[in-house]
Amino acid sequence: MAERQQIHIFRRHMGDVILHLAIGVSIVLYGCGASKSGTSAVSSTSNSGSGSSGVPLLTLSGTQLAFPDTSVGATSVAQNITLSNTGTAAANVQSINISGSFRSDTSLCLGTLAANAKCTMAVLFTPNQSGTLTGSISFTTSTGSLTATASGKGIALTLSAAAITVREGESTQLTAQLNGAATAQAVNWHTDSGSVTPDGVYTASSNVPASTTAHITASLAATPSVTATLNLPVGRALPTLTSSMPTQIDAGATTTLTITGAHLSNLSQLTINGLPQTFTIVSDTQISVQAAMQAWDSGTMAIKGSMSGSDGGSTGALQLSVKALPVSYDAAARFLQQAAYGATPAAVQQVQQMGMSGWIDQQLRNPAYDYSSGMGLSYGQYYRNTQSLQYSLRQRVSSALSQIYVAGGSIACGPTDCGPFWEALLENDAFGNARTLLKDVALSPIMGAFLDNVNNAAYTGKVPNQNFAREFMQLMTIGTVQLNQDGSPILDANGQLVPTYTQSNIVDMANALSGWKYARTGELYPQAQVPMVMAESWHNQSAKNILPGVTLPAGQKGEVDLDSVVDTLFNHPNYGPFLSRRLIQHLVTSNPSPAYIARIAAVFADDGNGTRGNLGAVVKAILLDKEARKGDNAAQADPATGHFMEPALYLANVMNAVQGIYTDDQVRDLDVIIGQPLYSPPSVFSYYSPDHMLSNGTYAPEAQLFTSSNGVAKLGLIYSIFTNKQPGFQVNWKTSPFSNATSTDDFLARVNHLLYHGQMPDSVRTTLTNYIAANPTASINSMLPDLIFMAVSSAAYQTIQ
Amino acid sequence: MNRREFLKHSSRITLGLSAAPLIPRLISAPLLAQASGSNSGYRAIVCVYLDGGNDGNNTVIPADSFYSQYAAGRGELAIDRTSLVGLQATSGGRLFGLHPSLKNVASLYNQGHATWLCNAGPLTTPYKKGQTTGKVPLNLFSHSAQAAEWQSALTQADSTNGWAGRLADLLAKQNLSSSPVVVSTSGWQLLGSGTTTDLATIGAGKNAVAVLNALQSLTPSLNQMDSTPGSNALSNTISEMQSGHLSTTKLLLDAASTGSSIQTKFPSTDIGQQLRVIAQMINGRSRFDVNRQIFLSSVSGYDTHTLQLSLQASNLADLDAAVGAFAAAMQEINMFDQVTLFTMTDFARAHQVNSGGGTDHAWGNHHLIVGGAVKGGDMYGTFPSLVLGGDDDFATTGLWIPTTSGTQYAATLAQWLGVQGKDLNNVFPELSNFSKSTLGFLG
Repeated sequence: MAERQQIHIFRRHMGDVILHLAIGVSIVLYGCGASKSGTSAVSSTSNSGSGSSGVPLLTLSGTQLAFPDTSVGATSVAQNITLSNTGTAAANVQSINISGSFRSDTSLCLGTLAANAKCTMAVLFTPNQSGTLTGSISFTTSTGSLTATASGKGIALTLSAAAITVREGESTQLTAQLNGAATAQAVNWHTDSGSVTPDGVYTASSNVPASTTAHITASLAATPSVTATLNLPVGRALPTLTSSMPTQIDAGATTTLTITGAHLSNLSQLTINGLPQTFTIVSDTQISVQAAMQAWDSGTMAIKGSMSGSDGGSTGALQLSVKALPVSYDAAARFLQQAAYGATPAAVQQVQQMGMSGWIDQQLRNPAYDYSSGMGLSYGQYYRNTQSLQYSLRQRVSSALSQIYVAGGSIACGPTDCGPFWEALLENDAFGNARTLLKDVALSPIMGAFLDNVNNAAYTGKVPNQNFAREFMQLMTIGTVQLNQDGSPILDANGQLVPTYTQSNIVDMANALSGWKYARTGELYPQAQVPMVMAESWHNQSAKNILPGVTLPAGQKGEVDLDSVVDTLFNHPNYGPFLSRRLIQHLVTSNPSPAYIARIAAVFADDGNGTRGNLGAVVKAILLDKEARKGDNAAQADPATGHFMEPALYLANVMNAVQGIYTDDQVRDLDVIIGQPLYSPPSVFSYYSPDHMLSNGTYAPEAQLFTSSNGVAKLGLIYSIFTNKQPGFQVNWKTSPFSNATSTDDFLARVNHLLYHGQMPDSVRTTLTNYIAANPTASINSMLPDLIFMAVSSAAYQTIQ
Repeated sequence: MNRREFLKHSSRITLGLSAAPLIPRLISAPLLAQASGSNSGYRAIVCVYLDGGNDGNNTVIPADSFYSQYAAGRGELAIDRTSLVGLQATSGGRLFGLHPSLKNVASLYNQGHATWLCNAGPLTTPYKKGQTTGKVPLNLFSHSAQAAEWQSALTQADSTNGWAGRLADLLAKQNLSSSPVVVSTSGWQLLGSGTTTDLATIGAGKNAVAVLNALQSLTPSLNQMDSTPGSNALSNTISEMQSGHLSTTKLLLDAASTGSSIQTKFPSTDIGQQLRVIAQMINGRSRFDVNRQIFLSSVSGYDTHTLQLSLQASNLADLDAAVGAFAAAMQEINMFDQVTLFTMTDFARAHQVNSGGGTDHAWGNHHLIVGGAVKGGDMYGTFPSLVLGGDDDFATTGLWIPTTSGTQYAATLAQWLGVQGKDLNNVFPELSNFSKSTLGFLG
């Protein structure tokens, strides 16, 4: 672009201007002098014509055209102007210019106008503004210029309404203004819908079946040509709600409400608490509503109606209240995570109706499952029972006890798994007296085999096997150091822990527990449910100092020594806080406050009827304690409470949540891979330690199993179950409590209340919402395996809190 | 790769997800670089934890004139002298034999690649029978307490961390690695739990690869869900733990399948397969951006309160075969000099037999160390006199009072990994109670 170009443009009244363009092109504009503007009046001068024989002479019919007042934007009647050639030769009209708000068809007069000829143009006035407007009609001809002036007045009539829209039967004041100001002139009104009074009050029709537009025209009575129009939207009447019968309804049910109001035939949607409901229009003043309440609905709800369409809108709200139950849905759902295997719609309903205390009492009365034969002997029965409301609490407690009174079932009975029998022992004793439990544990051949107290022939000259004696004290009753009733260790004058026993006490405890053998002789493995019997000749007869300050006299029979041992441990001050803390950890929180432990230990010491060791009372006190119940109110939830679900508990909760089915016993092979093989803990120390701590110094026993490999295995198992690829499990998503959600909100509400007792964290809500949004073509139903998998995989779901 | 799995309660750092380490090997950290003799090479220690308390008295047995002392106290459990596997004479002129099941171990010993540390156990301070000053460790003879004392090297209080975990903490402080220092094939172990770091675990499960594949598309959503702390403290900690599980598992599986496969055959036993996986990870160490690692394996069944002769023979045979295979595998991949295997166990067992043909809980025990770096073919520590009720017996049934502390044992391993000076005393707070910090069995 190095070459400079010049562009010549001709314009009037301008000096030469050079524009420098960025690209280096200069444009030179040349003016060509001034012209004669057509400002003259009529010129009748004639110039020499081109003809040789005659002269043309042009005249106009008038020099002033006066127009009547005309509405702005409207067009006046025409005023004619005639150009005549009264000369003897033809003239040539080269151009006609009309200025201002005037116009005409100039073609009639352009060109040659013969001698004695004339042409007429109709000039029209269309004012573009109000006020006096002038203009001109200029003819440029071969004989010179001729000009006529034109003038007229623009009149502006404007129309407005007090309301932007009106509804059926409503009125609004119209205002006509002339040239922007009020006018005293009379106005005539016209409308094609509704009516207008002479003083300008518009009233819409009393029956507007569909939204429409009223076209309203006003014209000056004096000057009918001056008009204005207004298009006023006219809508249907908005429905209103007046009252509802009844005003109080049940949660979790569909109730027919009769709602009265006005214009109800125009109602297109009715919501309760924002959720659309089904309704029937009975009349313009009454509708009937099927109010479907979710089970977790509570408190006061707003009923609101709305009419759709361009004229749509909402009604005011009516208040509806949901009948309060003794226990809220969310509190019941939370309670069921502690006392059972999570919330199912049926379980929540039961707790809500019975109340927590009543529900616990019922659970305490329900008989234990009979594991002694048939299906009871199959491994899957434990898991199947977690889905029965009949055994929930007993089974939760027996599971807790099984991690305190540990006897690996598979070791004791050889090729037969004794696990179900151990389960039966613990379930039978779960709500009984702890002394009964201790003696049953000590005499069980399963425990005898597991901790080697069977055939412990410790007569004179033989060193007794100390295995059971030690763990009976350390792990099952009193622990290694003396405790206060709140579970804290007693410290001596030097601030040191005080041991509960010495190594020599262990030896004597083993002597006191010596001499037991299987009831049936001559076979390698025991009858699992038949207690061991005493072989006095194997029992050590010497005096035994079984605990500091406790000595059993020499010569006591074995059974007497056992009762003495059981009584000593049962009545040891450590036992109450020891057992209380562990049961609380399994049911409610890994980190109970000392006061919580002390309250439960007090119930252990005395159930209110003077009985020590009433486990049913202890369990009830644990679950109803204020520290356990505090989190029922989300606002009061203690961030330091709760416990992580161990794998077996988690699996049972998840299966309950989706109402999955254990189709056979293959669950037995799978709890191994998630770190908790049922009935087969790795040692007497069970699957994890009650004292397992996080590095922040808080206890999190179950987190000991939450390693990277177990965590991945657990995710994998649940996903495999949810996608129905795991033999032994079946999930029918069509009938799960999450299926057929009407909206994302409805789905999230179900997850929130069923899985999170109303306390779903934002991160879970966001994740699920995003996942649904990212798959717009997929239905929520079709995504349930993924969505619920994520919902039960969150840390928050896995933490009972 | 995500670092959070190994960093407890750290701010949430997410490094780019990648199968291959993005970060070059940063372990030119002053601590390990300066302290170790050869400063840049990879080194690992491998713990074989014998869960329940191995009976050391029938593991290392006097084969000289002291055999009769041994046999007198052992009674029906005494192993016939002629069936012992012989070890070459110690520098002190003692003759010992090993349990008949330990043929591979004996062979490694006699080649100078293995040693036994005699009569070590948890000690707070040096302790002699009847001594009234000083302290003995808490809850002697309890499985849980003694195991914790071995693993934490702390004997006077419950600890939330183990010495291997504290070593990992030291590394993490100096090295922004995204790889775990401690990897366990046997689940969570106190030994590997640090204050600021946690151990990673790898399961024997062949399913893990399939699980990772199945969950691939959901992984971003799962990570998102764990990304924002909620209101519950425990749930937040669980969330931090869980956030690294998938990526950690992927890294460990990748490492275990990297490199040419090891030809040495491992036994199909539990411990055999654990050591196989560890050997594979060491072979695939290029996947890790650390060059010091601690592997934890564990094998149960050693709590032989009854029927000890048969149970222990079987246990030790499994151990011998697995250790033999591991040593051979390390030699095969030329890592024998850089990897040291060692045993720990709850405690020893009483020298005197109990009524069930088994033994009960005791204290000081003998521990095996194997590797090219071991100054083997000789014994370390002091072998106890096996006299029931004698000066070395805490009570009357042969509960040998340790003459070397578990802390000294662990510190020797840590020093070989490169820890020294003040750091050594920080990791092992009770070490200064003993005149010798380290025991010299590693060169």
